[in-house]
Amino acid sequence: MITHDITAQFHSATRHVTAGTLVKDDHFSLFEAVGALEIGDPKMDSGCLEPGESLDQEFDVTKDILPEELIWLMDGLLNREEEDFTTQLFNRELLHKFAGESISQIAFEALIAVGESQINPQLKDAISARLGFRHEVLGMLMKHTNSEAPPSSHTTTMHQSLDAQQKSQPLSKPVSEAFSTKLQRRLASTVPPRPMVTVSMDQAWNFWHQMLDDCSNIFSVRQATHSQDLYIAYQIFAYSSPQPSTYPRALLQMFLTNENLVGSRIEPSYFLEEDIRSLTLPASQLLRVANGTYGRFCHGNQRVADTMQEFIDRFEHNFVNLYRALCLNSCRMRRTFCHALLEWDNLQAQVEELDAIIQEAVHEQPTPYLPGSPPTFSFSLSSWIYHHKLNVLQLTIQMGFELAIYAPHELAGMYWYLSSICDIHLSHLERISHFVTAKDTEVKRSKMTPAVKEKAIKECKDALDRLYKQYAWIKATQLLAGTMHGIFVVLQRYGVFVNQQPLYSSDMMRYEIRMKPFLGLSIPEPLSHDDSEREVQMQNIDTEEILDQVTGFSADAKKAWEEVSKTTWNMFPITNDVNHASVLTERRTADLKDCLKAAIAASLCVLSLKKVLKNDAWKEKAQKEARLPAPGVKGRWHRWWILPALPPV
Amino acid sequence: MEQAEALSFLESLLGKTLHLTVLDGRLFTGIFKCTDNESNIILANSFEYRMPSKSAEQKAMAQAEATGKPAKADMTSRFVGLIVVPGNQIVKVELEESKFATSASATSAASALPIRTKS
Repeated sequence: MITHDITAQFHSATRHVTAGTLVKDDHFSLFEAVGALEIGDPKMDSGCLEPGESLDQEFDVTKDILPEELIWLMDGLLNREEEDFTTQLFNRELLHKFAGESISQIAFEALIAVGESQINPQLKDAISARLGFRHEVLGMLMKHTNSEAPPSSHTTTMHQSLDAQQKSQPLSKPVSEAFSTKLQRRLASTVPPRPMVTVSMDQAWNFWHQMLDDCSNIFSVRQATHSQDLYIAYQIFAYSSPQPSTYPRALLQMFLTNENLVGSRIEPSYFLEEDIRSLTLPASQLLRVANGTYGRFCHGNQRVADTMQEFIDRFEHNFVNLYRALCLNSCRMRRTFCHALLEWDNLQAQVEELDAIIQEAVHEQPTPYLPGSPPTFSFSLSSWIYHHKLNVLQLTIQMGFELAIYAPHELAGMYWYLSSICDIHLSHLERISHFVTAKDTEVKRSKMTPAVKEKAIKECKDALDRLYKQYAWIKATQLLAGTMHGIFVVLQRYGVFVNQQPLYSSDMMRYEIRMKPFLGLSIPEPLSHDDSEREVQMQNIDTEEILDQVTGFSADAKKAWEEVSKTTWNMFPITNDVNHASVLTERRTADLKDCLKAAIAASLCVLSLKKVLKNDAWKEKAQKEARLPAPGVKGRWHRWWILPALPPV
Repeated sequence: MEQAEALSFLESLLGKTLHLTVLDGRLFTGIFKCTDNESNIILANSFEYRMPSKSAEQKAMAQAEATGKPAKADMTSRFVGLIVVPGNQIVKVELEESKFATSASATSAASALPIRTKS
C-alpha cells in the first residue's frame, strides 16, 4: 500500500474554502455529521490519552499481594452487578470454561491453605470468611441450576458470613489499579466512554443480603398450583420493593421454562387451557381433560378440534410471555407490555374468527345479555384474550405512575384513563360471568354421572370465584383512580399542577405521544384528544359537585381496598412448603396495606380540597409549594398512587 | 493555489481513503467525507491504529534478543466509524493510493510494525 503525504497541500487548500462553507460529499448530510465522534475530546473519544498515559492494564494478577490487599480485592469483586451483563462483557471471556465443581474445589483447597498459613489470625479469619462465602454461593448457584431450593439453614449461614465479612472490611488495603475503565475504553469504540459505576461497600453488603433472601424466597412461587395463582405470585415479586435484582429475577424466569414445564408443574399448552377453563370455559368439552389430542374432545367435531389446536399453538407462548415480562426490570416490563398490547389486540381480532367457527360447529344458541339487547354469543376464547389484554393495559398505565413517566398536569388525564379502562374491564367481567352462570345452570340441570357432574360444578364455581376476585380488585382500582382523577382536576382548577403552555408543543401532540402505546388498539377504542379532554376536565360540572362526587368515590375506594385485603393471594390449594409458607402472603399484605393507606390519604386530601374551595390565599400558596412525592419518600403511600403533598389548610 | 484549483483538489479527494495522524500519535484511516476552512475533517468507516505500547515493544525486543529472530509488536486497531478530527489535532494527512479509489480499504492498512533486532 502506498500513501502520499499531502499535509501541506491539504492545509493550503482548505485556507481557500470560504468560512462557513463546506467541501463535502454530495451524499453526505450534516444530519449524519452530528453523529460523528470528535477525536481528541476525552468525553467522546475513548481512545484519547493524557500525555504519558498508557492503555495497558497496570494490574498484574500473578504478582504477590499482601493479605490486606487480598481482602480489599475480594470485597471489591462483590459489588458488580449489571442487568445486561452478557452484552457488556466487552469481549472478555468469563470463566465459562471452568466447571462449577472444580472452582468450588479450588475455593475449598484455598480455604485449607489459608488455615495452615502463618499470617495474622485476624486476617486469616477475614480471608477464610470470604473464601467460605464464595464456596457457599457457588453451592447455591449449582443447586439453582437444578431448580433446587437451598435449605434455609444454608441462607442463614451465608447471612452470618456476610456480617463477619462486613466487620473485617476495615482490615483491607486498597489496590486501586485493579479495577479501571481502561478495559472498556479499549474495546467500546463507537460509543463515548462510560464512567465506571462505583458502588459503596455498604450498598454491596445490603445488596447481597437482599439477594440471598430473594433467591430463597423466590422458590415460594412454586407453591402455586394454578395459572392464576402463579400470575399473582409473579406479580408479588415483580412489584416487591426493592425489586429483586437481576439474578433472582432470572431464576424466576427459569421456573417458566425449565424442562419445558411451567412452574415445574405443567406443560405450556395445558397451562394455557387451565387458565381458560378457570375463566371463560369451565366444564367445557372444548378443552382437553387429560393428555390427548383435541379430536377426542371438542364434541367429536374435527373442524372444532383443528380450530382449538390452532388456537393453543398460537397462544401457549404468548401466554407464558406475560409471566416472563414480570421477571424484567420495571422500565423494560412496561415497554414489553406496550408491545404485548398491540400483539394481543391483533390476535384478539383473529381469535374472534375462531370463536365464530366454534359457534357454528357446536350450534351455540345466542342468549340475551343485558335487558333489551339482542341475543349474543359467548365468544369464550376472544373474551379470555380481552380480559388479559385489559389486565396488561391497566398495569401499563399504572407503571407509568411508578416510573414517573407522566408530567404533573397529565396525572388527571391518566387517572381518568385508568378508571375508564377499569370500567370497561368490569363490564367485560360481568359479561363473562353472565355466560359462566348460564353454563353453571346448564350443568346443574344436566344428566351426568355424579362424579362428572361434581367436577363440572366445581369448575363453574372456580371460574365464578375467580371472576369475583378479579372484579373486587379492579373495582377498588377504579374507585381510587376516580378519586385521584377528581383530586387532580380540582387542583388544576385551583391553579395547581397546571400545564405551563410550552412554546414548542401543543396539547394535541403531547396527547398523541403520551397515548402512543394505546392509540393503536382496536378495542378498547382509543379516544380522540378532544373527547378525552372533555371527559377528563368535566367542564360542565362545577367544582363543588365534583368534590361531592369524589368524596363518595373515596369512601367506597377505602371499603373496596379493605375488601380486597381480606382475600388470600391464592384461590387454589397450594403445595406444602415449610420454608416459604408465608412469604407471598406477607408481601401481598404489605402491598395492599399501602394501597389502603393511599385510599385513606386520598379521602383526607378530598376533605382539605373542600375546605379551601374559596380560600385564594391557600391556592396561591399551593401553586408554589405543591409537590409530588417520589417513590420511597414520605407521603408517597404506594408506587401507583401519587398523592400530592399540599400546604396545610 | 487559486481558490478554484484548491476547491477542485479537495473535491477530488472526496470518497478517497485518507490517513490522518493526530497529536497523541494515533493514526486514523477512513473515507474522506467533508472538510472546512479550518481543516476539520470528517471520515466515515474509520479505523483507529495505535502504536504498540512501551511494554509491548520491550517484550518484543526481549523476545527478539532471546530467540535471535525478528519479533513484532502489533499495532492495536479498532473500528471507530464516523469521526470528526479537528484541524488543530491533525499532524499529518496522507492519501492512500488505491486501485479502487472509492472503496474503503481500511482493512488493508498495516496492522503490524516489524521491529528489528538490535544486532
